[in-house]
Amino acid sequence: MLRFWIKKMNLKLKRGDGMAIDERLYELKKEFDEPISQELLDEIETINQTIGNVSVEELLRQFTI
Amino acid sequence: MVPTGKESPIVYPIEEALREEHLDNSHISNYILNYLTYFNVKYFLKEEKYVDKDYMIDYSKFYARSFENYSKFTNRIHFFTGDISNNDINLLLERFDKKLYTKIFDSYLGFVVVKPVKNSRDHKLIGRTILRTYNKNVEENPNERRVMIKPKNIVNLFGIRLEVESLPFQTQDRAVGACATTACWISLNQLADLFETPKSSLAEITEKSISFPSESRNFPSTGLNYLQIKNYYNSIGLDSEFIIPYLIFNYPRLRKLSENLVGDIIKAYIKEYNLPIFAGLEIKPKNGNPLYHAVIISGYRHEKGEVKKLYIHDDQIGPYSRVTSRDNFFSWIDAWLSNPKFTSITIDKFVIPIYPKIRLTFKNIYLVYLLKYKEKLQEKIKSEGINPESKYELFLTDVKKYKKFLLDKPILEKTEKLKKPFPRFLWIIRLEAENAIYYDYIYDATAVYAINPYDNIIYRCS
Repeated sequence: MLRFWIKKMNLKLKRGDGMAIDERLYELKKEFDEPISQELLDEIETINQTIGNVSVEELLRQFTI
Repeated sequence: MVPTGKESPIVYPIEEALREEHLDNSHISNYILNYLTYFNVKYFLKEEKYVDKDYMIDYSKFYARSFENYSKFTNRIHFFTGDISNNDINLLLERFDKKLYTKIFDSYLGFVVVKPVKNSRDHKLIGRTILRTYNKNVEENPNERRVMIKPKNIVNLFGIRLEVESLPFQTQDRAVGACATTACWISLNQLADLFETPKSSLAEITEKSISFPSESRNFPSTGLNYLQIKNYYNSIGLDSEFIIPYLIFNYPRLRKLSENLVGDIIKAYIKEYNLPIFAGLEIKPKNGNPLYHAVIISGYRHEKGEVKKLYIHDDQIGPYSRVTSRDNFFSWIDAWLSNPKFTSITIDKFVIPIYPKIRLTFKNIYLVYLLKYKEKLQEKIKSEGINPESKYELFLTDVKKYKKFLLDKPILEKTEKLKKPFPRFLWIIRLEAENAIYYDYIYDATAVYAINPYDNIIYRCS
């Protein structure tokens, strides 16, 4: 699909500033397009609970200066 | 020497600014003058008996009921970079001349309100201060750029309409509010622009915050705590997100990926959306327990996305005060450390005042950004020789800003994408390499979970 669009849009191989674009980054997109796995979602959920843990004592720290 | 004019002089050379009857000689006045040298300040104009709304409210809530006879008026000092004289001002007021108006408009650098009340060192307090902001381009390094929070302010000087783009600043006034109250006040000016929330004076902010009680005196203020700050933002219809950098960085799985965490947080909120970030700092003295101080992060300086410096509004230093990194900005160096009493400044927590509809939290989307995108890209760079300059960036924006940005960009299916309804708030995860944008993954920031992107945008590099 991406290749089709690149062809349709006649993607330039050179950027406006003369530097070459890295076509592989477009190729790579299909890997990033894959849906997030359930394992990763579970891991994120677990990490999220840990990195948000803060004691009430800390929240009562007073800004005194 | 005072320049001559038709009536009593109101324009003075900048060398006289620190006199007691003008700015007074506090360390903040000195910072402000030093800051203004960047813009080649030459003259100042003193507007006497100025009614400053913030001070007037604080006066009515606190000073009016004191035995001492405080004035309810302030002085407002305006700064100019060009050659402005009393004659110019008088001439403009008598006979509006477009050329003269343009000259004054172009050379205007902003103003400082000087309150008639003093601090513990017997110096006049600096009230609402709106000064021109540093340029986007960094003179000493052409590869670096500044990103500053700088809402547009309209200034009315004797009927003359002037403009300054800047985030307002003021110093703390212990009678009505300490550093955390002042940091909230600084954030309000931008939050009002972004979310149409009300603006309040220092005394009003403290009053609302202390409806969550603490053991300390309410007035004179001894300082707020984190929950009182959250309580204040709640009271104006905002939510707030707490981000604790050391908890994220110390999580073993995230340690290598999140080494630029502080810069990532700052870019996430300021890069596009210009959201002020409340930073709670731990300042360690040589002897004794750590002290806690609050500032607002008001901008940053970067080279190809790598944060090099921060700019903060610190009520005890001044506006857009420079901060350099000691440890990827987990701890930093600023003017506090010029005092030998203090040994280190570390970020304790960030508090992000946020519109309640922005439900997808930074922590949630940041984990997706790290574990689904950044980690995989780093693997590909190592294993497949992908351009090592390529990187993902995460930032918050809204539909108006984002579609405006897309409008003049060469993207695939452009008309369809622009016509498609988008959520009001968006988290963008963007792939860039050497200043070229390749594609964006758009996450619905009004959703609770970041399971899949709402859409994506592919750019033709140009």
